[in-house]
Amino acid sequence: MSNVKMEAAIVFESYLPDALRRALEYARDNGFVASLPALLHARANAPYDNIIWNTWFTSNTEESVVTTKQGNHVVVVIHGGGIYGKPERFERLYRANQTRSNSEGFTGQYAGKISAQEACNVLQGKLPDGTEIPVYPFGEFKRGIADLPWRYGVILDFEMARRSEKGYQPFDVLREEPNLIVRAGGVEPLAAYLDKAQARHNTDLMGNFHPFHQINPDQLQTRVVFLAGNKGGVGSESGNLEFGYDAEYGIGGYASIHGMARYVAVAPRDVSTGVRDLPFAA
Amino acid sequence: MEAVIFYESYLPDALQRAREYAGDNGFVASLPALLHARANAPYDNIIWNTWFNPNSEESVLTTPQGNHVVVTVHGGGIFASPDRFERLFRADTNRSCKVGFTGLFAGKITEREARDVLNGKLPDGTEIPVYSYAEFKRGVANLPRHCAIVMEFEMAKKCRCGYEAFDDLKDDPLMIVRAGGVEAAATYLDKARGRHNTETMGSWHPFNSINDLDQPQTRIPTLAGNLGGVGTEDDDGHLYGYDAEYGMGGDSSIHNTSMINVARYVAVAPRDASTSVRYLPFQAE
Repeated sequence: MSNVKMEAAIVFESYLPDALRRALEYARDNGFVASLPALLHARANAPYDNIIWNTWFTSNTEESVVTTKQGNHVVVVIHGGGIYGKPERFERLYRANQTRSNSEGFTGQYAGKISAQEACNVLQGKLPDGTEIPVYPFGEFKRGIADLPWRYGVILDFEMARRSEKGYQPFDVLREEPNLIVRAGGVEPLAAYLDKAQARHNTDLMGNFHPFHQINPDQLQTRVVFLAGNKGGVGSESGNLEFGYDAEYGIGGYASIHGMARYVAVAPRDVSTGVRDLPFAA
Repeated sequence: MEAVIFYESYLPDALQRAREYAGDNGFVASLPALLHARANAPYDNIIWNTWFNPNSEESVLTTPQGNHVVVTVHGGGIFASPDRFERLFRADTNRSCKVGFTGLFAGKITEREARDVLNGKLPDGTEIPVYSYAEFKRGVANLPRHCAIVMEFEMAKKCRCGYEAFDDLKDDPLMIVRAGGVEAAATYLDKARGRHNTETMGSWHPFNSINDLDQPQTRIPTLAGNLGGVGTEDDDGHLYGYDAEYGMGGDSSIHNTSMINVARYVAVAPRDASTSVRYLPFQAE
C-alpha cells in the first residue's frame, strides 16, 4: 500500500558543495532544499527538543547586492535556490583566482562575486538553471502575497537593508525589520517565529546580522544566510557566552559562503517501499 | 527501530557509515536479519529489489584437533570493522602473503583470528555463543543476533550449490545456517518462491573449489537481488553481472565475493522521530 509523505532529512558535510549536492539528490524534482523561511516555519511548528532548534543550518536562501539598470543599489533575496543554487557554482567560486581584482572569487568579506549577467538575470527572476521565478518588491511583499511559492525573490532597497538593525535586538524591534521580514518569508511567518523563539527561554533579545553597512555596493556579490543554533539554545541574547562554532547568534552573519554546511532537504517518500520500518529481527 | 541502507562504492566506507548509524544500541543487518526482513516485506519493497552485503561471514579453518570446519558468524565477526577490510585490501597480494587475498578472493585470516573465532572471541573483545550445526538445527531458544555456528567442512562442501529446488534448499545445512535456522529458512524460501511462483533459487558456495584447506580464510556471502526479481531461476546470461538475481552466497569470483567492491549494508537502530526533522512542516499548509 502506497504511503507517500513529505519527509525531511538533514544533510551535513564538511564541504559545502558536497552537502548541497546530497541535499539536491534527496530533494530531486518533487522536493526542495529548505530555504530560510522553510527552516523558520519548521522551527515555529516544532517542540524545542527537536534537532531543528538545537543546531545550526545552512539555508537555501541567498542575498545578492546588485545594481539596477537605473543605477540603484538593491538587495535581491532568493528563497529556494538562486545564483548559488548548485554545487558547481560554489566550486567555481572556490577555485577562482582569489586576488581581489579578479572579477570572480571571494570579496574581501567572503561573499561570492557574481557576474553582471547573473545580477541582471536574478533581478528579473531568471536563474542559471533556466528557472524563472516571481520577484516581488519589498513593499508588495510586506503587504502579503497570496499563495506564495516556495521559490521566489524579493527586492529590497540597499539603503533600507543597510539601515536595518543588526546585532542582538528586542523581539518587538525585529518584527518590523525589513530584512528580517524578507528572511522569514513575510510579516506573519516572522511574527510566528519570533514568538516561538522568544518563548523558548523567555528572553528579550535575538540576533539578526547583516553585512550591508560594511561593503562596497558597487561590487556585485552574493551571500548565503545561515540560521544559528546550539543545543538548548544557550546564549541567545548575546555573543558572550558561546562565541564560535555553535554560537546562538540568531540569523544572518556577515558572510557564510564557504566551509561546512548543514542543509535540510524535503521530498516525498513512500515508506512502504523503504527498509526503514521492516522487521530485521524476530 | 529504524533501518537505513548504506551504499558506497568502497566497502569500508559503507561499513563505516552503517556502524556509525547503528551505534551502541543498533546493529548492521546479518544475512538472517536481511532474510527475515524480506520474508516480512511486500515484493515491491527495496529489500527485494536490489542486492545487499550482509554482516555475516563464513570462515574456513582448522580446529585444534585437526578438523576442517566452516564457522559462520552472524552480526559481525573477524571482518566486522572497516579497518580489517583495509588491512586486507592493502596487503601484499602475492599469494604467499599471509594477510592478503586467497586466489579465490577470500580474505586470509591469521591462526590467532581462526582460533579465537572458533571460541567465539572476536577482534573487538566481544564474546559470542558458538553452536554446533546439529545444535543449531534443532533450534536455539532466544537465538542471539550475534552468534556463530560451526559446521564440518565436508558437510559444507556437500551442500547444494547452484540453482536448486526450493524444497531441497529447506533441508540444506548451509541454507539453514545462512537463514538463521530451519524455520527461518523455510519462511524465506516460501516467500521467495511465492514472488513469481518459481521452482528453483540460487544458493552458492566456494567450498568445493578450495584447494588449500589449511589456509584459514573468510568470505562474506552476498544476498543477490534486482528490480522485479528477474532471472531468479538460472544464469543463462540475460542478466549476468552486477545485478544478477543468483540467490545468495557466491562462489569464488571477484564479481560475487563481497570482500571487495561496492557494498550495500542495512543498519538498524532506535530513532526518535519526534526529535528529528523528518515530519516537521517546512511549508505552510
